[in-house]
Amino acid sequence: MYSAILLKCITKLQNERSPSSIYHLLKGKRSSQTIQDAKAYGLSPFFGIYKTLSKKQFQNSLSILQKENLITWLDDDQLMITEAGRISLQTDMEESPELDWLDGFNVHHIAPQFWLRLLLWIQTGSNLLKDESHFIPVHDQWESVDWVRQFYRNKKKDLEGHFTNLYQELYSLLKLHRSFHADIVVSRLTGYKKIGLSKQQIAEKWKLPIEDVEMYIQSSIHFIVNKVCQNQSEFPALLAFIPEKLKQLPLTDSAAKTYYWLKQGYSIEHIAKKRRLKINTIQDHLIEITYVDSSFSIDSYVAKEDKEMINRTIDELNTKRLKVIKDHLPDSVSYFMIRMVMAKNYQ
Amino acid sequence: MNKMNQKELLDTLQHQFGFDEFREGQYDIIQDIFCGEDVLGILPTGTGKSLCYQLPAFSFEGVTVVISPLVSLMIDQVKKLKAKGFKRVTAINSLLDHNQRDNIFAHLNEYKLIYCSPEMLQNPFFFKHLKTLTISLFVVDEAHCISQWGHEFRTDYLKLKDSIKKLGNPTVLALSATATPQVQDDIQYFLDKPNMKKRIYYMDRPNIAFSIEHVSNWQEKVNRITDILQHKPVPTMIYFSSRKWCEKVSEILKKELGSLRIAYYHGGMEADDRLLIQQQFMNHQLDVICCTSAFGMGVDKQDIRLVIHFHLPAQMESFIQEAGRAGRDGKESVSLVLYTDGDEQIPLRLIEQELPTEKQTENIFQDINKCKTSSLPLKKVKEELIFKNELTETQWNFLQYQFEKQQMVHNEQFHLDSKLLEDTFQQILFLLRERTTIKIKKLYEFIRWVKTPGCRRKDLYQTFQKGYQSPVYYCCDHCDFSFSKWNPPMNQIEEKVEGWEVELKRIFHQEAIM
Repeated sequence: MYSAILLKCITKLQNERSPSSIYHLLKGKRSSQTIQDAKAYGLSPFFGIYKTLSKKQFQNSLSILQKENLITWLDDDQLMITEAGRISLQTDMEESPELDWLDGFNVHHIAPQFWLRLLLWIQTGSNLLKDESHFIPVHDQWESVDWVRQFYRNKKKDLEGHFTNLYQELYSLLKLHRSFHADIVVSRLTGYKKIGLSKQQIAEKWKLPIEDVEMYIQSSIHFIVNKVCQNQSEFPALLAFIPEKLKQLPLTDSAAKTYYWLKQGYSIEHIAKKRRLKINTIQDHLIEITYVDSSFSIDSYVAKEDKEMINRTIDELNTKRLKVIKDHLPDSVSYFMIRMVMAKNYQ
Repeated sequence: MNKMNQKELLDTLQHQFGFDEFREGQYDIIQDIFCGEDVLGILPTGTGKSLCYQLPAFSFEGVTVVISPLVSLMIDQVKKLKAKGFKRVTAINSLLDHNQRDNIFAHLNEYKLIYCSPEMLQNPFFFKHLKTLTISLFVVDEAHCISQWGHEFRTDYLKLKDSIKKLGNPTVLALSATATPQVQDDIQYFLDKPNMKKRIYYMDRPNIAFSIEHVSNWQEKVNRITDILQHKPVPTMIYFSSRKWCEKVSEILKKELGSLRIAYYHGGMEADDRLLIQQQFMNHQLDVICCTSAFGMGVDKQDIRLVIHFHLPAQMESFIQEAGRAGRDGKESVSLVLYTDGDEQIPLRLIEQELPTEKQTENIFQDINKCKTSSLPLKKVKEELIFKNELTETQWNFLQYQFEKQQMVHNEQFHLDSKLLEDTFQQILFLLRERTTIKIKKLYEFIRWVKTPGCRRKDLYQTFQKGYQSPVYYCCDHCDFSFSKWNPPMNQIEEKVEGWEVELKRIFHQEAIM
């Protein structure tokens, strides 16, 4: 599954971006360049799906793909998929419907929190229902621990009833997984006298690369989060675990601040001065905002004629490379303007 | 402070900690502390050392500070206490981010029990906060770290004496599982507590038999383990001296012993996964753990039957601790050391890496010498010196402590006087050689034990205590033990292969609903 994701990224980037841009994409780096890559090349489902990926691990997986002749290196730090790679990708896409479950751009900022809450709550409830109050929490991420503590206060009156509901909702969603996939997800859960498996153990048990384990778990989380959000009345118990943040735009805190002042009528220059940031940084924020908020208008930053001219050039050249596009346009058109137009197009 | 009577203490023990009775040593030490006496307590691993300060901590008006050398150990203790319902506990360590740390400092007075590393105690900001509190009890855990002759040595332990004075001389409790009389003297000397009450308890374990097998290569070690575990599938720990070996042998054993549930554990794994493995072992979901010395700290699994040393431990003390994880429940258990000629090479290499080498030290002094100013902020060059000379944190801490001790660094400033530099350099070289010699000597002490012709039990404990209890089951392979005679209670392994639907039902207790 993980190698299919890499192959898909390499295919879609059409040799226009370096391999490290894939790494940043999977890690979910909040830079306007990475966001632009995700959007412009149609890779937004993979944005931020592998936050614990290390550079070494990533490079290692590329060399494996190369050894298996699924990709080759072009002269200049560029990767290309081979014919064998194309076939392998095709097969994987047909065989792994879970690939389509990934929805990184929209849920990457809430998926981890949702999962941590759920894991800890299942462990807590499972133990408390057996009157076992001495157990060591599966993780100690402060925010989720606090949340679970609060949640318990609300649920303790009818813990049993709530747990039955939660079970039924989870069961119905896991039923939509392929059975080995549901096995993997459930084996990760910790409950009363049952400690979940580590990713390493899951990898060994199902004979999968450890990266695939991570991807299967992520795809399941994204699937559950989206199902729950789209059918809120069907999944009231699980809905409670969705962090508030989902209702906000997936912006970095800093970009959100910029957006706040923008809405108050401040100019880019004024915000830069106010926040003691470079103008470039504020412009990056604007691009981030354009990507995530479809109601945001770029008209005050790019004149209509310029916008049309930029779009014509992009079409003619059939590329997403900024440098190439800029070289074919008059000097009066800045990089910022081109990026804004691209952001609007790929919203 | 008032002495609590025995009934009151027992009530507290039962209600707050859920134990029915005190284990050996606990009651006496706790009584001493309530009487305000400074105590040096030597209690073997697994006998509930931490209860000796935890119980008083929650009865005292003021705060109890516990100095602990390992972050993982602290976090483990805090987790366990919280699981028991004690909320006013915290560990201040390097893993906390700024916000978390500020948050704890702001509410420091709300805690009853504060764990921190000796390095953290030297943090002026933290210490300032600490000084505003009333400290009732100051605990030095793993107190052997204060002595060069202890099996671990941490220079920051040498600074504790001053901290204790600045905190208004609270009652001091120094604890260790293994400390020879020489180390005990050092603890009293370096804490400046010559009148400490000594509470020393025997560390020998009458239910563990000792066995050493001499084989010719590592494959034979693996074969031997496979053979034993095939016939005696018991809860087992296998100790390795490196992460690589730990993973490698665990891989092989999994293939050879298909019916056993085997996993590895070492410090290089993600913290969450480490916790899962540890908990699985405790919860009987695993039979065999291949691990480095990182495992075991704070593990109180009662029914470990067999502890195998695949590699040599660094010295007697760590061997006694690690082997002592077997048979906490008092049932018959075995310690097995597998030895091949030349095995000492690995620990010798580890000894080399622990302190800066003479070459590294020389280079560092040259670097410092090049900064031709009379005074230089430590901060300014520290990172670069560490980076350029590829120092580990422990190596740097050792150097910095020496710089400070020789007054080459004062108030975070280097004083670059050429005479002072030369003296410090020579002093450090001398210490490096001395320290390495001690370590090597301790390693060879263990190797001597491996090769002893006499009774292993007698030989093992004689440096630590006078005499030992007679064995309950078997003594050692030189006296009466062999694996063929050994009949331990064995695991009933029934690995049920069940799909997720059954598992999920069980976790949510929905088994009744079909």
